[in-house]
Amino acid sequence: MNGYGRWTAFREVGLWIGALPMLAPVYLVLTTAFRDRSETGGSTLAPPAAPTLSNMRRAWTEAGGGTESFSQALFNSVLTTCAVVLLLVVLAAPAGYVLARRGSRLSAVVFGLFTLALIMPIQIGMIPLYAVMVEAGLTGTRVGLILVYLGLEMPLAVFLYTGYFRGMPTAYEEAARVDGARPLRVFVQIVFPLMRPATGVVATLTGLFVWNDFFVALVFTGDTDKATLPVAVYSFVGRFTAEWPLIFAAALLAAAPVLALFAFAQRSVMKGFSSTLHG
Amino acid sequence: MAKNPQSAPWAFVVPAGALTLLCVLGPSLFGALSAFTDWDGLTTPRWVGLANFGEFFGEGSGVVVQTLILAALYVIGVNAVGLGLALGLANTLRTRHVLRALFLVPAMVSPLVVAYIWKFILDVDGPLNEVLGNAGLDSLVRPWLGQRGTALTAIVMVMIWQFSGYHMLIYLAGVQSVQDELLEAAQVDGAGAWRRFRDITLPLLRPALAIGTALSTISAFMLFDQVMALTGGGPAGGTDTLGTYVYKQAFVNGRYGYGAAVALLLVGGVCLAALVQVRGPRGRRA
Repeated sequence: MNGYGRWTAFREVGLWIGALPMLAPVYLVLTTAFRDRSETGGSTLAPPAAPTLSNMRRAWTEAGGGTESFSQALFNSVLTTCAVVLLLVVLAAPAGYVLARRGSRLSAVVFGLFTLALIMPIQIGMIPLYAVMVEAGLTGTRVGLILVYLGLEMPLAVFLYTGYFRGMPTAYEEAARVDGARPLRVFVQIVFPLMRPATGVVATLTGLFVWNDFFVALVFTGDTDKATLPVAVYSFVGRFTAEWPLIFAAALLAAAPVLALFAFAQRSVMKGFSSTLHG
Repeated sequence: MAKNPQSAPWAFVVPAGALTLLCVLGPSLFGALSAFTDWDGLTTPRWVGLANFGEFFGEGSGVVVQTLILAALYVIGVNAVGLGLALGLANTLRTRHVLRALFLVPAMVSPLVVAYIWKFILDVDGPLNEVLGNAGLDSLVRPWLGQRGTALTAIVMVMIWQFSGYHMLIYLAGVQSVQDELLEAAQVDGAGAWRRFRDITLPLLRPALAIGTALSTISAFMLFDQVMALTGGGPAGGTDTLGTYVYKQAFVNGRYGYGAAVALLLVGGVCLAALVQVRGPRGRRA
């Protein structure tokens, strides 16, 4: 079964042919983003006659979604994503730990509430939530946006942590407890380090969601200087209709940090994904 | 397993629980209540009973049908392709790590950006029609996103393109956990490839299949970004889903009460689908 026979070689070639539809759009994005905007009327398939960075430069300096420049939207995205992921891990890991370790009916009910929140469509609570945030003067602010993302992603983080920790043995914690360690110390020194794979998945999934999210960012920071990258890209599409070279240059700039991170931590991202999905 | 409540104090749950209540459960409850009113966000809401639901079933049935079509095609498509990729890339291939990464990359990019890329490709003057024209297949050239049938198919294809790699990951660990010895023994006993898949691999993948179908069903019902970017719900509402319909009614037309009623039906659908799929396979085997 493990030999590399003719059938395996056939499978390998077949999968690469299957991968062509994955690659074709990447080729089109790259050729379009580097195509000079004066090069019109030609084929959309041909490589650019004279590859240029002018689209990138223009996209970088253009304002998008109320931000002064693309770099400001990039800064907003980085700050919002990092803050949300950090706070999520700090707040969700202890909650997941407790829910996994307590076998009471109450903990089952609380876990059920988190699960209910997890499958709740975002639209149903969006208007009341928006009304509350307007009342509190938090719309169009970073604190407000971070708070909303924290609340929206908390159920998923708690769900993943609980599921992961249910499968872990209790021996280490018990040993620490017998030695007289207090709950907070047991958690920080013993439990949290054991949760590392789950933390990786929580950070990856929620970080990706916040970085790529459009709807929430549009509702809470659209047309302000706190808008994130997807809102900026969206406003590009609105302002430069069918100016695909500019739009794709902006899209590439928005996706580049995530793709670089994925290339860098590919193995651990994939391992984390599959381990928690089955945990 | 021994539980030790002493070292797991409830205080640890309070911040996470409070944020979830504040941002999700509280507003959702309020939204659910407003489904029975004519709230428009400005005037005092008036209780209207089930009138919103009645109105939706009168005029919005097309949206339900479209959502169900998209959900069914997406759930079947993305899980079939994901499972196929997992089976093909489980082991032995020399370039399996490169290929896995390649199939996963689209899932890392914003659905909005991916949808815009495909809007460009499927445009009337876009690359797809150009390829078809160059290949002499002019009869196939058409405004892909301008006709209801092809537009619905296109939305599903774009979603499958983006997320089949993610579903591959869900199945990969399951496929890899199937022991080679077991498959070899079955082969020696004369079991063909299909029987080995059906009787050995598939039963072991049952938990992963439950997760995969549940996740894809939930995301299909909540579908929003891709439809807004690709078709905006057009032509003539022909690709509107429950997600875009709720958004338009509530945020664009200011009919919050009516939008909430439709969103409430959406919650019901998602809960039902999740329950059937998570319970179903387990119950049958137990």
